[in-house]
Amino acid sequence: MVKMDKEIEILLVEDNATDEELATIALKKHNIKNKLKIARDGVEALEYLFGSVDSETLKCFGPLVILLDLKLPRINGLEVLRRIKSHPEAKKIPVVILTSSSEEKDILESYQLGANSYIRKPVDFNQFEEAINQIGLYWLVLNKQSS
Amino acid sequence: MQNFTDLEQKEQTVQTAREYAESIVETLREPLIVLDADLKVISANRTFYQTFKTKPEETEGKLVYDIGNQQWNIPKLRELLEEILPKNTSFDNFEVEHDFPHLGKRIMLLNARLIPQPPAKPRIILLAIEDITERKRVEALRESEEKFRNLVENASIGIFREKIDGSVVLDANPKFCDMLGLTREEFVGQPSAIAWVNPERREEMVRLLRETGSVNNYEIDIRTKSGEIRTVIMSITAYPKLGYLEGGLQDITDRKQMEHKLNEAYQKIKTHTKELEMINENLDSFAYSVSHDLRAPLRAISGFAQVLKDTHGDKIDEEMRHYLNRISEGAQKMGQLIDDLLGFSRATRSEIKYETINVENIVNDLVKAYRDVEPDRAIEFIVNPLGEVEADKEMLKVVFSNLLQNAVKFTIDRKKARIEIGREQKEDHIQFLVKDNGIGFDMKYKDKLFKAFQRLQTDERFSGTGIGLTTVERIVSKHGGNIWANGEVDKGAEFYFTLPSKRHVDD
Repeated sequence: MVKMDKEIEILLVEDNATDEELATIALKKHNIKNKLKIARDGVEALEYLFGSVDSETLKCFGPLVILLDLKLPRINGLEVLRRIKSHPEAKKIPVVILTSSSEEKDILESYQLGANSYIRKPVDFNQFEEAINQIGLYWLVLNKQSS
Repeated sequence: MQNFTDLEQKEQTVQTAREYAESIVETLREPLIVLDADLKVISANRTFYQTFKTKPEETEGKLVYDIGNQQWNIPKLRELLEEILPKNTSFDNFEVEHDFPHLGKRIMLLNARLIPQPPAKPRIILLAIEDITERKRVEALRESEEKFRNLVENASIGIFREKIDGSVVLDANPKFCDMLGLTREEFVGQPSAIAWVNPERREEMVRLLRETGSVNNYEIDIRTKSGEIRTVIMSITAYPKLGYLEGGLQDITDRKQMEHKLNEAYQKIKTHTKELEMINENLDSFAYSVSHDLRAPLRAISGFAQVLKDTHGDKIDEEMRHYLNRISEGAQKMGQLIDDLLGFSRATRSEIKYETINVENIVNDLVKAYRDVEPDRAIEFIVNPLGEVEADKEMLKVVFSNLLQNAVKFTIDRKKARIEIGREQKEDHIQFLVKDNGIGFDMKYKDKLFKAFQRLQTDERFSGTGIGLTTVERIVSKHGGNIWANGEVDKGAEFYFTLPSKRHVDD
């Protein structure tokens, strides 16, 4: 039942196909070749992590980093974040908010809910790439996760 | 013989005169006593004895103060008899209030005369005592009645008296008659129905009066002579033994209309406020989706142009590269414009969250950020002591960020850029200054500086969206401050803004 991939995974929760493609390109370009999972909304993300939306059992154990957009169809990013960070096991998974919003209340709420980082998607692709690179570098290489 | 007869005759005359005088004294209805020069009683009339319950033998020959258990030993009387009378030979209408043993508290009116006598004979004093207690009481009653009457006549509320069953008007004051547009004659003595409409309300009122004796603030309609219906409130008391009702009433028609209008206005304001709140909420979600959804396609434009350059660099010539760069730049400019517009709308909509802010920290953070971003430029930042201020931290950051960004931008062609930030404490406000030695501006256009989308520079190097200073102005004025600028072409610019030293409590 429980997945125990030794390979580090990145879960990208992104509903926008363009952003998904750009993120993929950026990750590839910086040689971050970890297994990339795509969830296209909050429901898919929760299903991937817990098996089903209402489940209380974590199905997917790290090593893992989640890149989470906030504005998502069905279940939004903040709700996904709340579910992850209120779960005794899942809360150990680093969550990086990657969103277009720079609204103060989104940033504040994300951190209050336990987001590990908050990055605003820049319009400039070079900056976007740089941000993705930083995330990969920090969360996948430098940061030693508790297992 | 002749002389003797004369003498006898004179004595006769004197005797007649005395008897005459004594009989006058005796028949006077007011108490009167005759005193000698030593204030001893020579005699008193019958009324005196009757009134003060004494007898001649207890009185005559005694000192006036001693008679009747010293009931006349009154300081005021002593003063009158011993000091005033010898000087003036009389005193008139002197009121003395005294508690007499048999009579109780009484007000007496005293009149006295020093009667001249032949030189050889001692002088005598006539003291007349009039009990005016009753007269005073009646006077006071009449006065109070008149006062009361005036009160009723001039009252600004209607006052009336009706038969106990409410059938006939017995009396009404001018105000009530005015309210009805009737003369007193047209109203008083008439059936009550002339004034009151809604008979069922009247019946209920009469029933209440019968049961409880009074009604308070009872609302009812009256009809004026011209047929107009007015609403009044009344308070009435029933006096069954006297057979009448008495009450006062006030016209509340205007008040009710006012209340109605106020209530309407209040409801309108409530609706408007709700609408405004909704519009604001919509604006918020609009701004949110603008920030989110408008930027996504821009990322695609900029991103794929870049990806194209990166992945197919070998197939792209200079001209193609130039166009791809133009595409990226355009998208980025649009992104900046969206951000600035959002910042502006946020500054306009947000409520100020006051806190005490260390201004130097904010400015130093920004300065450090510029140094990091532009490490190659030699910019001299002079940060003077900036102290603390009460303001919204995020908004103040936006203010300084915009002003410093401008200063950095407009000094780009200076070999040695110099940007100074200062503070000056004024009487009731704090004045901040951001000064640069950049390209400055023509004072002719100073009014355009803070207007949205007004740009004074056409040079590509000084690109901007024209919203920054408008946002700054909006934030400063929201805080109750002012902003202005001085400048000269090629000689730098000074931007001043103020914040109140103490914010108002109602902020």
